[in-house]
Amino acid sequence: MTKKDTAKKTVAKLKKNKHYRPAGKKREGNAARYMTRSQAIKQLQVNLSVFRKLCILKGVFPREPKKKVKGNNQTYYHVKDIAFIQHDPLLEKLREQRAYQKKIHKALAKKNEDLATRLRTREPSYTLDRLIRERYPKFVDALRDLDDCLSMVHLFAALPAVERLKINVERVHSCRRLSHEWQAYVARCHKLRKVFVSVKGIYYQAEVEGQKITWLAPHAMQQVLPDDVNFSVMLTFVEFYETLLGFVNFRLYHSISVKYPPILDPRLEALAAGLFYLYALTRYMNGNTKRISEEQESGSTKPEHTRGQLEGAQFEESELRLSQLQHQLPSNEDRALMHLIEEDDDNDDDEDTKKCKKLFKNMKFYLSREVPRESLLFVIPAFGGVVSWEGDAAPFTEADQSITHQIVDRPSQGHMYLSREYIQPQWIYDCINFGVILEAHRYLVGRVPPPHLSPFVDNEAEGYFPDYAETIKRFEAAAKNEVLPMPGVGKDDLDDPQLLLAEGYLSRTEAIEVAERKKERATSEKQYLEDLKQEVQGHPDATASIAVEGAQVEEESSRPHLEQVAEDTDGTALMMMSRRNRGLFKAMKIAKDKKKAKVEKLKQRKKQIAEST
Amino acid sequence: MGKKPKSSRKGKKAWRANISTDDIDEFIEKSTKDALTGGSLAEVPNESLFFVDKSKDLSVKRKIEKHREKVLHCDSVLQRNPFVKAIPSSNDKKKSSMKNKKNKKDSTEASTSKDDATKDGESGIVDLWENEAEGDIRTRKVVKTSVIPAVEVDPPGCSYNPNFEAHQDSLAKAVAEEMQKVYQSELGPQPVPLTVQGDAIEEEEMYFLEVDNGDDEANEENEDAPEKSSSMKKMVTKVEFNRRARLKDRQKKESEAKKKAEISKEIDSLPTIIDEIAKEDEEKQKRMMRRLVAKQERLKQQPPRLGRHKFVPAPTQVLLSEEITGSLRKLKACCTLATDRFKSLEKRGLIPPSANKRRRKYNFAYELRFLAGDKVLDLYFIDDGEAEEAAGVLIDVRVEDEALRKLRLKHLEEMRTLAAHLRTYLRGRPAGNVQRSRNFCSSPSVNRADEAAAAMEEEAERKIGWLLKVIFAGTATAIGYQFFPYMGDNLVLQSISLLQVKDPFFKRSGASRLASYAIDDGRRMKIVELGGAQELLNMLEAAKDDRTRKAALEALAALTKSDKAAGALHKAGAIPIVQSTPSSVEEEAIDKYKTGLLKRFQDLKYDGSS
Repeated sequence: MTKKDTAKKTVAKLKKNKHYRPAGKKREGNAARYMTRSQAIKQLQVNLSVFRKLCILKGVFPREPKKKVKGNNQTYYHVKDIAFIQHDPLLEKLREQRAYQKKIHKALAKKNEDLATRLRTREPSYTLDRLIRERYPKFVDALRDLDDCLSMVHLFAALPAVERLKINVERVHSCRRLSHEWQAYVARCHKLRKVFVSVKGIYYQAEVEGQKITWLAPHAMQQVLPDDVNFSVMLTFVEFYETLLGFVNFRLYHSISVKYPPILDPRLEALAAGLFYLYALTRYMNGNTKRISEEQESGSTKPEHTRGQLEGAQFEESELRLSQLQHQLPSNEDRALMHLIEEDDDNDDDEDTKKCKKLFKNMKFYLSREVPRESLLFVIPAFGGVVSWEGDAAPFTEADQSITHQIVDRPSQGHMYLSREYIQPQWIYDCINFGVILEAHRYLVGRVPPPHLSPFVDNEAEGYFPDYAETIKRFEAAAKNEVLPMPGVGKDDLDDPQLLLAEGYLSRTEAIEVAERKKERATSEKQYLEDLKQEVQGHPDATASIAVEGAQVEEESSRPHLEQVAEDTDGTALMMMSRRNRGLFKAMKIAKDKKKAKVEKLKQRKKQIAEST
Repeated sequence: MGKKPKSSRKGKKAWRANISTDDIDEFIEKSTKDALTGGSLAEVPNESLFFVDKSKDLSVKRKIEKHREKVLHCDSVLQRNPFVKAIPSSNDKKKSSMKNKKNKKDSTEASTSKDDATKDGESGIVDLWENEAEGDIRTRKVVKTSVIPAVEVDPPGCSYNPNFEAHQDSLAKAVAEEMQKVYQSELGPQPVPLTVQGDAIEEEEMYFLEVDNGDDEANEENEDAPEKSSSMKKMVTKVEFNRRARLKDRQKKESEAKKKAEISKEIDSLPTIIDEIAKEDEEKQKRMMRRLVAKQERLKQQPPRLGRHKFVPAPTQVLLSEEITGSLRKLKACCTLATDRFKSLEKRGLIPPSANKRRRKYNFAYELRFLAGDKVLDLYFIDDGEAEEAAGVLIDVRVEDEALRKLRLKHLEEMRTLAAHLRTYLRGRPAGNVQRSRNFCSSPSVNRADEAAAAMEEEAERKIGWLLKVIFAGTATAIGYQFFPYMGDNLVLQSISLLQVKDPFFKRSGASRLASYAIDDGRRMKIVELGGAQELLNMLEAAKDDRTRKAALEALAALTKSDKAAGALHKAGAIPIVQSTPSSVEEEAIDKYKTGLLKRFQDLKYDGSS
């Protein structure tokens, strides 16, 4: 028995020492470059939770080495990453915190409450400014990485505060505040581009400083806290993202000359705890920009002064308009009209922003109580609309005659004003996505609205247009007085000079393809002409068939040659590529084929459905 | 000196003489003294009285210096040689100086930041990127770990009011995921049974068995050993030895000649060899390319393996056909967005994937309660162990993941029928037995044996189905729509309960399952007995589109191949229903099935009037 045991032990030893290194030989390769998590912890002399925190804050993530020296079940980190953490002052700070916590524990254990409370007042804390600057050296870098940040902050704004999971009330509140501040900026500058309501939540896409930022906000409903989520990890991420979003907001607010931590008027502030914070913020922003721009005008030098005067004139004009409108309206509604004034400034927007600003211009919306208010209060002002709601602190009431659209989501509406349209909330989202005001009759109360299509799918690239998208395209074209060709034909007028110019940019193979098509078309045209001629002359069919054959022969003779050329160019390009690039190219090709197959399948399915019904 | 005569004290002279003038004298004395020395000390400031002795304390200084000058022997040895420089054993001084510097820096930083804060208002926020063009701050380019975007937008089918085609697409994907799970649990290794059939082995016997085995092996080894050694010891004669040597020689020569011939042959066929090598290389190259491409594709779907656990993607969030209302108010939205974000972190490789924590023991009663909500079935009397056992026999589709709860709520119907069966099954047994069977005692009871027989049957059925399952597991997951039927009572039950679900999609899949299950008379009768025929007829009657009708008719046609089943169908009133089915232009199959069915009924002499 003992013999066997020892034998086993030796075998185990040999197995364990698989990557044997002779004495005196340097450690190199993966063994030297990567270390496991436990090794890293040992090196940094911290515990696991602190290590996790450090990794998240410093942006150090596990890697997958080619050769996993310590086995497949380990998590590996790059040695340099760990050294990077080790040099950070944050590590020292976290250690200090831990030591301080020990002091407090000790005081508590000795029933020395005074000391404990006194110690608690002076706990060491850390700031993440430096880390943010380190990870995002440029503002654009921060914007590029904002997707995750925004989604996380929006999520935590909707979570219930749970003490067991250490989700504090303060954290939830600050997340809510930050998300509203962000939304207020986006709405104020009309940066929102796309909205998609899915089962998971609402996807928004904004374009800030040329960066497309997509985020996911939860639906307005109770979120559950599932037990397969590690909330301590999530909280660390949120901690970092909160700071990041704070700095980003600061920068953005200052770029439109608004003071950053916004100071709201106290009456609204009291309401602001709930839903209307966003509204209060937009109001604040509008008011503030005005004031600051006025200040600038008064203090400007002479050449700028003329401009100032010009703006001043505009301002006066809007004031005039405002007073006129005020005559028509009850006096307490001037607040909503701030939106009217605001439109006069900043003329340096790009095309999209201008378009977005004008979409809901001169429209007044009223939200019933059953629609998703938070989302619509964000979206409608972002596209230049004026909005009010049913409830406290609403800028105008339902009885207001100037309301053009009332948004309802119920089977039937009792009392209806004839002056306004009663539409479902989806109308707003669809209008935004297609960039036009759609006909309201499809979205009226009690009707099942048309499908809500995803704006994130590029139909052109995908090669498949859903029915509703097609109809909207037609509608759009009709609005522009442009006649679209019949469906299926496509608009490829080959002799269009602009198109020919564009052809120059196409790749060679494509150009060849186009040329081929042109040729085909020419032959068919010729044939058609000939047929016509024959019909007019009353010739028998024999000549026609000959002509057709001739054309076909010509076509066949030209086609293989062209294909050959296309293939050759492909081949040479492939030869020129590096092996890795070639692989990527192939992967791309495969993906393209897959996409094509998918489109094919969709079409087929559609046909089947059409047949069956 | 004689004593002074006592004088009267009443006189003026005496009174004057008795007044003490000590204090006055003292004062005068003091003032004169002060005047002489130059001012009183009390009025003089401290500075002029005391001073810090800045002259060096020689003894202490000497002591310290002496200590410093002390050189270690090893250092002194090195110092003697001017060409060798000593490496300092520690760099204490450097460290302390660094610390000082750092402290200074910190303090300045703090002060500047404080200034900023005060300048900018009450918050400590400043514009971090104010001087980003200067690039003064040391930065490190953070490597992007993954190609997966942080926020992946759902496919259009996951919209709250989706386009029909896109929705069907997403639904099929969700179902495929689900079925994959089912198949995996089916085809995976069987869990180790908690009980083993048969009598318990007594402890003594067990001991005996073990001992026996060990002995046998040892004996065999011992017997083998001496034989070998005896054969080896045989003597070799000289003749024999020579013969062997010659043989060896010859063999060597032969082999050499052979080798030469082979080499010459190879030289002759050199071109083909080169070709072969080229081909091999090409093959290798191709394989590498394939691997590269596959890896790229894989990295778009999931992170590399970063830890002990594999990444499990979150289930697709998609509405069922009947849940699409077109109203945002009635939307049954996802309430576990936290899971989604967490999975996204894992997917991008920011954190190593964690184990699936939901490894709670599968609990049938719990699931039923969970699924049924308020309308809890009266199944509470089942205790956990019993429920588990029953569930193991009867349930095939597992409800595991909370997130797809909505999708699986459809199984509720299914679960209800199963529960009804379970109840009848349980009532057939005395209550006491329930308890006993849970304890898994070694003495088998009659009921226990019955159960065992049932389990064995189940096992046999499983084994027959195994081959089919292996073949179809791969394809079925990819296709999604095609539920390939596998065998067993519970599956018939399942597909019948699928027929009862409202969604036409599930109905069709149930019908197609039944159609492919009904391949012999026994099975057809089983379907009829379990109420499948009636359900199919109901489905045919209530169907709204041709595809559903076709599926129902197909299943019915499969059933009527057996005479008995056809009779049962006739009794259930099949003929008028089949006759009333509208024929359609698109689906020729419907007409075909219809005429086929009616003809079959005619052959069997059932007439439409009855």
